[in-house]
Amino acid sequence: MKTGLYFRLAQTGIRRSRRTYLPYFFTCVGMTAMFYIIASLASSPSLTDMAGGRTLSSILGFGTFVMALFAVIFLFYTNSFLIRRRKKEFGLYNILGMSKKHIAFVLLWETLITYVASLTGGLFFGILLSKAAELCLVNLTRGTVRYDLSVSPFAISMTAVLFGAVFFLILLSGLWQIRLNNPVALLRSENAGEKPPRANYLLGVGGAVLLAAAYWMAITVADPIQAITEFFVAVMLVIVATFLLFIAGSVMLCRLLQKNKAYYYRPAHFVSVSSMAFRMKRNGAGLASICILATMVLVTLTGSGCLYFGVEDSLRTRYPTEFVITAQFDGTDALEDTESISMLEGALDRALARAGCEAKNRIALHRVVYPTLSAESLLTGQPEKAPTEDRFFRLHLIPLADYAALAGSETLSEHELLLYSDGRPYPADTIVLGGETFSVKRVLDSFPLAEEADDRNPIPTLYLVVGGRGRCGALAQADYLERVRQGRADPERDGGVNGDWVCAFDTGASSQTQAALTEELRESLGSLDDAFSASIISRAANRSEFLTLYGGLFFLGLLLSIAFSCATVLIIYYKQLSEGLEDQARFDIMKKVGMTARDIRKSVNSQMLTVFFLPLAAAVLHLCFAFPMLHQLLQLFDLKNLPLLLTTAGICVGGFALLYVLVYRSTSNAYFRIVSGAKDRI
Amino acid sequence: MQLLEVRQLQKIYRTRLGGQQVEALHSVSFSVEKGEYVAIMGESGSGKTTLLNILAALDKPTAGSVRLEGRDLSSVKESAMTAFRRDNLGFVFQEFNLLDTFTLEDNILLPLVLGGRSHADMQRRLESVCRELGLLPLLKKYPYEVSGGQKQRAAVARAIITNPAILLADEPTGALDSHSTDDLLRLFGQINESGQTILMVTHSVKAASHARRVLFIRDGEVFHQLYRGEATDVQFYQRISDTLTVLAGGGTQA
Repeated sequence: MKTGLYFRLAQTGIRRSRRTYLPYFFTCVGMTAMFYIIASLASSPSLTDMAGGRTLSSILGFGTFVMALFAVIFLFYTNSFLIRRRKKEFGLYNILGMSKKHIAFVLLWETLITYVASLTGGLFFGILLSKAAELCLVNLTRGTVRYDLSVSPFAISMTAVLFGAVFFLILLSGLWQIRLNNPVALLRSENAGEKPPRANYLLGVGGAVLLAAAYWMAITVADPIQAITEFFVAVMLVIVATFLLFIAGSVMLCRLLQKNKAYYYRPAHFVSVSSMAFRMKRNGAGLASICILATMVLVTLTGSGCLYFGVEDSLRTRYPTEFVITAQFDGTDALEDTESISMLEGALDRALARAGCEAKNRIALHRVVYPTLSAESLLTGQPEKAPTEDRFFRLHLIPLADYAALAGSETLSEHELLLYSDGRPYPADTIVLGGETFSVKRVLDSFPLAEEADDRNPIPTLYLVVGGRGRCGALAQADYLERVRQGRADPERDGGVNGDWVCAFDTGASSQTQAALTEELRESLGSLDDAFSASIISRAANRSEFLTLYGGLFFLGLLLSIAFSCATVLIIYYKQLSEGLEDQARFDIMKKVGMTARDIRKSVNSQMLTVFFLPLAAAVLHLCFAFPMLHQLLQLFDLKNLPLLLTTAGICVGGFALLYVLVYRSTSNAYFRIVSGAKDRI
Repeated sequence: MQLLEVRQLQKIYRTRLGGQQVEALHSVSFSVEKGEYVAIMGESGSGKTTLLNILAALDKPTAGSVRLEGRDLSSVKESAMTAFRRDNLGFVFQEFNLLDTFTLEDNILLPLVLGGRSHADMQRRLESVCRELGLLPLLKKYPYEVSGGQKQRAAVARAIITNPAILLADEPTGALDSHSTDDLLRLFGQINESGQTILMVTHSVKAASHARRVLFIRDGEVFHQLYRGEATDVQFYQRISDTLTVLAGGGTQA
């Protein structure tokens, strides 16, 4: 019977404050549904069947984690808003004779009702929409579609447990707040006298300095590796700086404006500047959250969207030619093994003919590939340094004949060589190789097939063109033996020096034909002699893997952006609601003191516009400064297309701004409805 | 010349659906001369607040007219009304109605800022008004930092800083303790002596006993009025009290 009473009290409590409770409830449902969708996809069997499905599942697994973290923070945030408004009601109960224990029961019931309702609703929508989400994902990754509706018991239990824990924590924090307060304070908590905001110059200036540091880091980033290491530091700095600036910096600015009497004591500025200082103090944290959420949406969407839409670009960068065939011979003698080479070429031609395509831009060369240990001191003939102080290079030796056939005739004397370094500094103008000293005749601007190499490797590659195939091999062998003697190399560990024959070509054929050709090549090259081992790298064969990876990332980016956007909308809604309720009384007074309704509306409108669009403007600014870093990070995914990045960012900003404006319009109407409820009497 | 002339004021409220009619004011006529200090008394529901709203031009009468310095309030255009109110009328409310986002100084300056005065002019007026009201040490404080009496004093300063033709006060002592009430009433007497016309609506016999004249309103009409004459506060208090007793007993006009 008593339990029934608490239940009813909880029920009516929720119903009476539905204007604030309903959005909270929807958030809970949305968060639950979203979490269920990601969790069920991560463990979905149809995913693991896909090419690269493993990667996809681990991406989504990471997404589950992010989503959970976000749900905890966000539900806490919204709930704290609710509790603030409910305190008065609890104070009333307390005065009417309910002990804090009884109020705790009411709160317990309330939390339970919310939990059960939002879990039911969330799972309902989650299960309903998970198929749609899966189809969307499969479509993005261009996988094959399965049309069975699956329910994942594992994901359901995970969702139930996670949100159970979240609501338990929310309950605890609510109980804690009630414990802390006495009834009169509870009754009055909503309009407790507020101290005027003081400008905290230390925090304000600190925020500005941190932001400048983060921006400096972002624009001076030089290479992708640095971008990775500095990205999270910069993100943290920006988050802290945003909070500091919105909370302290804005009040500081208002205070400075107030000190300027000629500016401040004007009808247009007087009310707006002083109430802005208050508004900022109260809403600084909320505005900073909106700003950071908006930045997250923009960066996530821009990054993942750009990656997904630039997948062809990435493929082209990573695999500049459609096919690369590498035949690796044991030892260097094979450099002169013309018989094997012509066998290879024959097999290649046959495969091409069978697949019905023609090789274009076909290039081939021999090379000697050193294991990744060539140290600077040895190359320059300097006295040996300890391995930790020495710079390491990968070394490719290319015979002059092969180079000349591709790049035009070139003559080299016996102790001259041509050098190409992939964009990074090279050791010296003279290079010591196999005991002989070579002078660098010319530093080349480009080198055939150099782009095919994986330039994400932090160890730079040196390409050296030396006269004569036989001499190339002999030099390498001599040099390598010397290193083995010095204990700087070990054939058992690094595989020793090898001779390669590399051939690359395009076909311009459709992706099906290319896939067929890949199969043909595997077959005909695999059946050859084992004097060498041949490997085939095909752009087409890598496309599906790229699509799975990038499509998965984009999908996750989309889902998270939706979640972040919902959060933004909700925070805005609550902000407008609470400000409307606060401003109601203020409006009333201003009318009485001699401000026309139009003046008030004008002043409030301009304030709201500033306060409202400040976070968006700051988010766009953050995005702009994040650009150099994003650009570097995307290069890790072989995407160097700056115009695409700019376009994607532009579209994201445009779309988000549109959403923001719509939300602004609808919530500001709610605000004015509340405010114009102010009574028109003396 | 009469400063304020109220003639045959009638106010009828209609419920929204147009069914019930409530007559808040039946026929109110009185006038106030420059430099007078008038209190209007009456029970709740007697029409005091309606009357004050009409005098403040916040509400329109159904019939009758209000003239301030010979100018009919209904002739002032809606768009000019706010400025008119700001320049000619000063208000003191029961609940102070100070903005918590402003210091007392800024609260007091608000009407001047809205009127677009120069900053030097503002400072000059602020200085003289606040010296008179003893507010100078409190100017930089925020409303939440000062007592109710001090808040009401700031509200009075805000009301008289524009040199209004008439100061309208609605239960100004309603939210004050007895000590602050005495203070405020003394203050009202003081500013009245310096020439400010005051019209105060109140429940409190004590507040009314400080005025020079008291009007009693019942059932939407001016039922009776008392002049202080040469009476002391205490004697006047007694006379008001007696009148209220008669009124409550439902007696006819004395």
